[in-house]
This record gives sequence, structure tokens and C-alpha cells, in this order.
Amino acid sequence: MKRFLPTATLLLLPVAVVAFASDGPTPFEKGNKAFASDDYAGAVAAYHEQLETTGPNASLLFNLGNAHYRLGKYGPAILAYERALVLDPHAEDIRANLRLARRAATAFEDHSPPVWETPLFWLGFDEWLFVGLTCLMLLAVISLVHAFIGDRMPRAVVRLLVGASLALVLIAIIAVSTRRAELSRGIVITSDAKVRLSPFPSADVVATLPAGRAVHIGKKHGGYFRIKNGWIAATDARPVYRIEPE
Amino acid sequence: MVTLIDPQSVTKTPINRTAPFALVTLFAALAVASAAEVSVKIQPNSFPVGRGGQLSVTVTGGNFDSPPNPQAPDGVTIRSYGRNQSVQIINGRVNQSITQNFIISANEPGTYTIPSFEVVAGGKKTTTDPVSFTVTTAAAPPSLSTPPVAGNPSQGAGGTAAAADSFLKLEFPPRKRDYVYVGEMAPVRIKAYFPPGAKISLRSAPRPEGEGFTLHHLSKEPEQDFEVVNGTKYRTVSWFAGISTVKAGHYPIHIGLDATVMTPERSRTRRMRPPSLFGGSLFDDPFFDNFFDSAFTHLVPHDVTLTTNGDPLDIRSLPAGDRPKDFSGAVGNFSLGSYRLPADATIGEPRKIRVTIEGRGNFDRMSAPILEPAAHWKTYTAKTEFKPEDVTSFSGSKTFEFNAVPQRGGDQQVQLTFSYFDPSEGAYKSLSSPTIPLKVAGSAATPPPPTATQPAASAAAAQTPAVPSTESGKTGQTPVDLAPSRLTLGTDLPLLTAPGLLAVFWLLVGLGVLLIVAGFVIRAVRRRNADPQRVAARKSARAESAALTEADAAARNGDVIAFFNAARRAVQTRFAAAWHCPAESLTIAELRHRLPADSAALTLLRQADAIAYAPAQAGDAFDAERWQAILQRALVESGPGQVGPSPEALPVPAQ
Repeated sequence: MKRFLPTATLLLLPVAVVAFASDGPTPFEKGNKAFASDDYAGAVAAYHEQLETTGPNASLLFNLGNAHYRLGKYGPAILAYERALVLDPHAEDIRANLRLARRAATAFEDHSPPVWETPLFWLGFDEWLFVGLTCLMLLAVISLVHAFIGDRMPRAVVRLLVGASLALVLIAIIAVSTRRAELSRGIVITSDAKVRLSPFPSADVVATLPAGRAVHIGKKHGGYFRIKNGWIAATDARPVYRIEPE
Repeated sequence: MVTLIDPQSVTKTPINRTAPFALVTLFAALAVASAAEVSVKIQPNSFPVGRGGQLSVTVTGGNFDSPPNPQAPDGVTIRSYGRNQSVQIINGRVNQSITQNFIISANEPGTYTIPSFEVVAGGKKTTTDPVSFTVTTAAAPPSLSTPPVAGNPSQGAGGTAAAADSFLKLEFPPRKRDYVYVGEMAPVRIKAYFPPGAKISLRSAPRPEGEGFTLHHLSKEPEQDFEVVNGTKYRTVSWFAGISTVKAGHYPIHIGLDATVMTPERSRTRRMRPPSLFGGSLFDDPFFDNFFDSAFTHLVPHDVTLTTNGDPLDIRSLPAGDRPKDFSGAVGNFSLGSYRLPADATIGEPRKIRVTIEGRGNFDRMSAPILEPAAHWKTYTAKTEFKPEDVTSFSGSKTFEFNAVPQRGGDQQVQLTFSYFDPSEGAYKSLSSPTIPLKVAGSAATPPPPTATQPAASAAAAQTPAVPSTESGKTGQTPVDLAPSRLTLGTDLPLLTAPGLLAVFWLLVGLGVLLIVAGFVIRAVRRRNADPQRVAARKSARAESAALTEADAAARNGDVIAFFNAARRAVQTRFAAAWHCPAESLTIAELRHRLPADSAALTLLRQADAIAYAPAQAGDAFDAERWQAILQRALVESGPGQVGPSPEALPVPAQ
């Protein structure tokens, strides 16, 4: 009986944590209630509180996007939906609302990769990472097992496993390298965001970007992000893959 | 304001030669002009509902740094009505002014005040004074007996004379009907007539005065000419525009125009002219009037307001009985120009549609053609581009470009349809493009589940929300709604959004690579260890090591027999490993073939045989140290070319 005690403790620990944490509604539930009563600003505040407490979550970011959408803030809504899609890349509801937000912001994204790249988009960016990692670990296990009992393993099975794993690792590497620009993807969250020639408030404005426009965010200098044609204030654009408390 | 230049004076007079000098003088005078002054006025400051007044913001001696922006009080509409510029030299005094005009109107009677606003002109900020105006109840349609000329009643005798010689006419193209339809547009020419010798400053552009119609696309640069009417010569100023009717009824078409007519003091000029030999003056020609007036005569300005005298127009409503469902208000005669439909489509993905409508009519009231089948598509507001083919924008082409999103999959027959009302035939007409087969990929959207605004919705339903419904019965009218919010937090692994987890990921990648390499290394080591030669070598080494240990122990104990037995095994094992043969096969005879006769190995084996056959003599004269040295030398001899010194050469122990 004693040997089962640590296992039982580990299994029951999350239950105990949930039970302890379930005193009163969570900020997420408060946000949902505020959303249901058309208090979208209150919902946004509650979702942000939840975000700071538990970190990013697809459902949380999706609801946050909905609240921003209802407030007419399409830039933050698009940002929240895109972040939610990173965590849950196959969610149709997130994709549908993202399309609505893009249309409302007139920030259409004509993303049509070449035919040969289409399979690389069947999975999300992080899913490709997981596939690659899993196959790599499988290769490691096969390598170790084969080192010790290689003579007793069916050669065809080993070849099949190694070939499949190697192919998936290779595809995952190609997918990640092809889509690596997504890691620097950012969204303009304010209307008429100014792009300046240099990262200073007094610098000349070279362009203005509408809310919801996607940009590739580079290095940060002071309060500005480097983008393709200049610098944009960090308050005007946010990276999709780096979720920080706001 | 625009100061009109006498076209005859431009073409006939030698004064043209003095133009450079005049320009230099003008700019020099402008340069020393005083600082910019700003004035604001509303004219007329009382007008009925349905009509408008003109708010003029004038900068004298400068220019606007930024357009003035008067704020409209509640119930008042202000819209920009262009900018006029006036440069006048009167009695040697240069007066340049720029006026920004606005049309103000109100839907309710009352007195309104436009609050003071900031005007930046000539680098100087000026705050205007508030200006008030009164809107009275709607005026009755002007009497048909209204005289064609309306002079400003505040003018004196000269002003009345100037006004009497000025009038405004509205010219319609010939038409077969004595009625028009609501929304119908007609190109018109507005022609103002002035005394030929007067200088004219326009204080406003022609403006509509009255109900039932609007004025569009007024030409910016009026044409100037001379015309003889009933034997009297006039200077004419003409604009082209489009008049569009807006509501049914009988309404006169009135156009108003404000101008300043500057006439010479004729008594002075007449005295200066030479008498005519034939009863008339050589200088009666307007050219000379203009020349002398400009050069020597004092000009007296008279403000006049000209109004057209229009007969009531019979404006009829569009027939409602057979009005097509897709009719959006276009009235005229149109045809379908070029168009572009998608060759393929996917549900939910926007496709760009482009279509051009050509013809004559009211393009302002025209909406984009409908993409059929309308229930299968959601369309968005179109971007438009109009290319006029005449000065009034009555004829031309209008291109619509809009996004359309398919809502249903499968095979469709798509086409563009457009309906308009043809006033010449008094009937609605429909245009349509040929149908094009189109296959829409994807499956239809499913109906949305209960929204988050319904707390009773089950968590299970919230876990599997459907995409939002985009179905609408009317194209582009019903906005789609959001997919519902989720009611529970799911579990995600925020790999890419949490830097710590990304580090763990790379750690695992490194571990995986390390394990793969380790597997290869282990396998290589195991293979190497399983080599029979290596196994035999290890076995031989172990046996040799054991024999040497035994020999050492025997030497220490003085056990001669055990020493030589162990030494024999050690030597045989060593040579067997070197020569790849069984240890038992290495006898003295075998060694004699391979080693020199005085080799240590042979010496040792001979002594070992001797001890084995005569054990009683084993303890005699056993020098353990010497024989251990011989043993070591014998072991060394197993290597190639390693035959060492003879045992005789080794030190002989003392007896």
C-alpha cells in the first residue's frame, strides 16, 4: 500500500489544487458573465486578469478577442484571435471570428502559400515542433534499443520506424524553417499607427498603418519595434508569439 | 472671389505687351501688402428652411495655412463650397483676398450661431467672431412673375443700373417630355449676363435655391464670352452642371449667383474721349471702354444677386409597380461594360469582383450590380471609380470593385445583374452578364450554437462551437455574428508563447540527439567487443596474467616446480596469441623452428622440461631472480624481431 501512496498523491494533487482554487468565480468566469451582460470593457479587464494569473490559453484569448470585437477594437481582437490560433490552430470558431475581425478592420490577409508549401500548413507551427521532437525521441529510443538488442529486433520494422521518423523530422525541419517568419509576426492594434523613420517620437512619419495590419516585428529599441519600413511604437503593435501582461 | 478678365481685351489690345510690367508691379505691391486679416460673414443671413446661406471666411493680404474648420451647431449642416481668390487694384491700391466658402443650412427654423473658430493665415492665428443667421419657415415657391434680374435692393442708382443690365439664365438641352422623374439628371448650362464694360467679381458660385432638385458637378472654370441679346451686347459667364431632381411635385428650378459689378463713372470717361466725326465716338467699342475704364476711370462696385426665373417643373415619382428587387436608384440609360468574375472560390474566402457600368444618367445614385445567386454570396461595400465623359458628369462609366464571400459550396451559375430606370421610355430595365459556371469548394457553414450570452448553454456545447452562420437572405445586408465565446478554459501547451517551455524544448532536442549518438556508440562498442579474435586475445591475456601471477608467487615461495609450470604456460600463451595457434601445440620442437637456439623462451622451456622430468633436482641452485628475468625476456620475444640476448648473457647468480 505504501508504494502506491506517492502515485496517489501525484494524481490527487491537481484535484486538490482545483478544489482549493474554486472558491468563487475565476476571472475567466467573471469575464464571461460581464460579456453576457454586454459589459465588454469589464470582460476585457477580467480576461486580462486571468491571463496574468494562468498565462495564455486558447479559450481565454478567444473570448478576449470577442470582447475586443464587440468594443469595436478590431486590432486587439485580431491580435487575440491570432494568439489563440497559435495555441489551438485547428479551431474553426477562432478562424471564423478572426475572418470577421479582419473584414471589419478591412485588414484582409491574402495568405495563399505555393502549392508545394500547402502541406507545411496542415499543422500549426508548434505542432510541427512537437512532431519533430517526438520523432527525434523515437529515433533515440530505436537507436538505444537497437544498440542493445539489435540482433533480436525485426529488421523490417526497424527500417520502417527509422525511415518514417527520419522523414517526419525532415518535414518538420522544413516546415519550421519555412514558417519561421511567423515567430516575428505582429499585429497593429491602434488605428493609424505611425511608422517612423527612427525609434524616436520626433522622427519623421513615413507611413501610417491601420489597426489589424500584420507586420514583422524585429528588434526593440526603447519604446519602438523595428518593422519593415521603419519603427513603430510598442504601444501600437504587439508580437503574436510573445504574450506579455499588458 | 474671381475677378473676370475681359476676353476681348486679352485678344485685341496692345496692353498685352505691358503684362510683364503689370505682373511685376502686382507682385511688388503684394509683397508690401499689409498683414493678413480674417473676416467672416454669412450671406444672406436670413433664409428659409430648404435653402442655404453662404458662410465666407476671407483672408485679406495672405493665404490660409490650413483650411478653416467652422463647427456646426446642432441642427445646422456646413459643407465646404470651394475657394475663391481675388486680386484687385483699385485706385492703385492692391487688394488680394482668398475666400473659403461654405454652404450652411438647417432643417428647423430658428436663429443659429456659428461659434468662433481658429483660422491660421499668413503664419498668424486669428480667432473669428461668432456669426449668427436666421432660418425662417419654408418659403412658398417663387412667383412665376419674378423678374429675371434681382438686383441688390440696397444699391443706389448706379447699382440698380448695373443690376438691370445683368441677369442669369438656365439652359436645358432640348427634351421631348414636359416632365422629369425623381432621380433623373439633366446636363444644364448656367449663363450669367453682365454689361460689357463692367468689371465683374464673382462672390459665389451658382447655387441651387429651391426645393426639388440638387446641383452636381458644377464646372470649376467658367467660360467667358460675349453675346448679343435683343440687340444688346453682354459679357457672358457660363458654367456647366448637372441638375438632379430629388422629390416629386411641381417645383421651379432656381439658381442664385452673387457678384460684384464694377461700372465706370460714365460722366468722367465720356468727357475724356475725343468727339466723333460721324456723330458717334471711335471709342464706343467696349474694348475702348475697358481700356479707358481700366486706365483712367474710377470704378464703382455694385453687389448684385442674380436669380434664374424657372417655370415649375413637373417631377414625377418612379413607378412602383414593376420595380425590380435589385433596383438601387439609377436613372438614365446604361449598359454593362467589362466585368470580372472569379474562376474558382472557396467558402468563406473573399473573391474580388469588378464590373463597369457605362451610359448617361445619374451615376451618383447608382449602386453596385448584384452578384447572383445573391443568397449564396455575401458582398461588401464596393470601391467605385467614375470616369466622366463630359463636363457635367452626365455620361461616363463607373467601375465597382467589391469583395464577395461564397456562403455555400458546390456548383453554381453566377452572373451580375443591374437594374435601372430609363426615363425616356418610362420603364425599368435590367442588365445581366452571361452566367458562368463556378465550383465553390468547401462545405456549408453549420448553424451557430447558443451564444455565450445564454449562460444556460452547456459546457459541452461550448467546447465544440461551430463556425458563425453567415447565411443571410439578402446579400450584404445582414451582418454575420461572432462565434460564441467559450465557457471553460481548455488545456493548452503554450510552447511558443512561453519562453521557458521553448528552452525545455531545445533541451529535449539536444537530449534526443545525444541519445541517438549514444546508441550508435554503444552499438559500435558492442560489435567490437564481440569480435572472436578480440575475445581470444582477451582470454589469452587473462590466462597469461594468471600464469605470471602464479609464477611470481612460486618464485617468492621457492617452489621451483610451480614456477616453471606457470612460466611455461605464460610463454606458451603469449606465443600462441602472437602466432595465432593453440598454446598446447607450442612445444620445444616447434619453438626451435621459429626462434634462435639461444632464445630465452627455449631456455626457459628446456629448463621447465628438465624440472618436470627430474623433480628431485628442482631445488638445486634455483635462482628465482634470474629465471624471472629470463621469463620476462621470453615474453618479449613473442613480438616480431624481438629475440633478445641469450640466457647465457644474463647475469649468472652466485652459486
